[in-house]
Amino acid sequence: MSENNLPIPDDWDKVQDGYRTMQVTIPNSSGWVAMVKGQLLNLGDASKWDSETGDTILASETGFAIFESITFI
Amino acid sequence: MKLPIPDDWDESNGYQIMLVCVPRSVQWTAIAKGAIYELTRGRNWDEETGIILDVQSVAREIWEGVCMATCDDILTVLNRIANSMDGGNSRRYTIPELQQALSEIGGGFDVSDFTDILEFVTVLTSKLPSLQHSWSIADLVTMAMTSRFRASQLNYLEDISLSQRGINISTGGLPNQLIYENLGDLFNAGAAGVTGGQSAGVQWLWQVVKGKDIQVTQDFLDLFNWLVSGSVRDGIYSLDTTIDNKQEFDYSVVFGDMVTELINANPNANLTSLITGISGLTSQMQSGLGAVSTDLQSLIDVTGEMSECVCAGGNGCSCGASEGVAVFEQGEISHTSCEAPAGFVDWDDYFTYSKSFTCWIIGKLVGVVGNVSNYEKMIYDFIQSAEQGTHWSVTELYNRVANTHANILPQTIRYNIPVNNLTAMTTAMTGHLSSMLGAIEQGFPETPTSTIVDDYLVNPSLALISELDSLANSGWAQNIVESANSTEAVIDVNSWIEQGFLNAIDSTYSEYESLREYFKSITSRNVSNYRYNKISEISDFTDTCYAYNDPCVGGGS
Repeated sequence: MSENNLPIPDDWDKVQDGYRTMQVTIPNSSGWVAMVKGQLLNLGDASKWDSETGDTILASETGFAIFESITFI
Repeated sequence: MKLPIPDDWDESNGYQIMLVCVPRSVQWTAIAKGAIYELTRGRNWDEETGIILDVQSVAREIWEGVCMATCDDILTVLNRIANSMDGGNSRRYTIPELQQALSEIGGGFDVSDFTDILEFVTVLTSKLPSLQHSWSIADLVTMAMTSRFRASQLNYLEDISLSQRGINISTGGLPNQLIYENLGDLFNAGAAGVTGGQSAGVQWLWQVVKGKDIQVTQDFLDLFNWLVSGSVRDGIYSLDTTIDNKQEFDYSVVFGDMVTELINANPNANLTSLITGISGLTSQMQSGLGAVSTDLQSLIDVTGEMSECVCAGGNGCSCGASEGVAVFEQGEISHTSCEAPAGFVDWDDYFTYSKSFTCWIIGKLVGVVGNVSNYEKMIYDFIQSAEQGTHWSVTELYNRVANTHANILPQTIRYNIPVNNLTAMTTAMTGHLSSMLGAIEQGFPETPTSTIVDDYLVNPSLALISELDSLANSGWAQNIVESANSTEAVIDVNSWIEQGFLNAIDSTYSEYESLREYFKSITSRNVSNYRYNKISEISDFTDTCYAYNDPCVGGGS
């Protein structure tokens, strides 16, 4: 575990709290899309999370769900 | 591992909007936003692939554009804005209420950024209670959704300001009174210009350019008098009215047919068919528009009665002379039992030999102000042209003319033509103007647009040439110059003519600018419609997010 790993949030209940929408305006290029999506994809990597703060598998599943929800309009 | 710096984008490629569902929690929001924020850190980028400062600048822009909003908040505000503008079943919201609604979205909205546009929309909606402001709603919502993305906001405001500037340019320096009476007044005004300074001379030239041919420029004058007496917002409101009407009634067909019939009318042909055609067209207009203005109703009534009068019985009508005069002078026909004027078998023959009938109809059309007018036809043609991609050709035309003859013409006046030889000046200007007109025709191949150019530029320019020629040949100007024995007097005359011409010419060119800005503003509406569709997608997305509570987890787990 690295000290730079992300602390796993403990203030959310999937059933009760639900989701919010985050809007990001990014340059219209495949390079920038890759950069931004790559940042969010990191949240689906269990090794990025701090195992001392919670279940890294659950955190990465939620993180990957965030990545999968990406929609471009 | 450091990130490679993207090299496939510059400002001209534009932006796209990405939506992400994030767990509704402070910590998860921080995690998600932090992932975006990391892009602003220079050490995350590979310096061997580009310039760190540049990529940081773009990343900061992305970061500043991140907007968190709950789905229901956004939808609530969308509904509030829509309700406030449709003026229908829901009550109107005041600007402070809308501002409050926007502020409730959260996410760092700067309400002051919306003040101008909200006020503008309020004016629009107050003028058009039944109008479907899809484009306004779309733009407002787009601004709301991207409020922290300054570039989009500024682009939109630029669109608005450009359209306003186009109108401002067109109205700038326009005298309130533009009625050109006769040649004597023209000379008096010119003399006032010589003795009283430049302003009167400029006004005189304005009158020549704008007011000489009242018949063809009346609609132009109506438009600008109205704009001068009203406001820029009223002008924009009118554009919106036209667009709205266009959606419900096809002006291009009815007005196009009508104007074509009138323009092509042959005084020696059988005008019965003309009258019948006009009557049918006005009937279409009436059925298409429903409520019409008084002037238009008058036109409809008169043409209808004319048709009945002329065509009744198959061999002409039985109207009386007095009523015929009334048609021409007052636009009224009160009954249908009458005789044709002496020397004519019936009214059909009378109309056949009366050019004044066609002139009257044209004048009446030009005089129709309100929901239907030549002005609106022009605006409609603008829209049509814009939709057909004429924006490009206008810009090309503008650049072509502005860079060639537009420069040559004032230079000719300023440097090459002796001031005491107005005939030579007229000849030279005629040549340059002819070249300009040739360029215009190349740039406006479509008939409707050529009509606009005729009204806006060609005919006023020809009027200017004609007046210059008359002026040069009258001896009046020669006498002024020849009697100016002192150097100062010559300079005064020189200054007056030079400045007057330059102002007139500059004003003419400003109309190119106005045309271009109109197209640009109208084109931006198409962009707005595109935005509106995108906003619908946003709404659908956020609605799904809100309704199902768990739309973002793959497989619904």
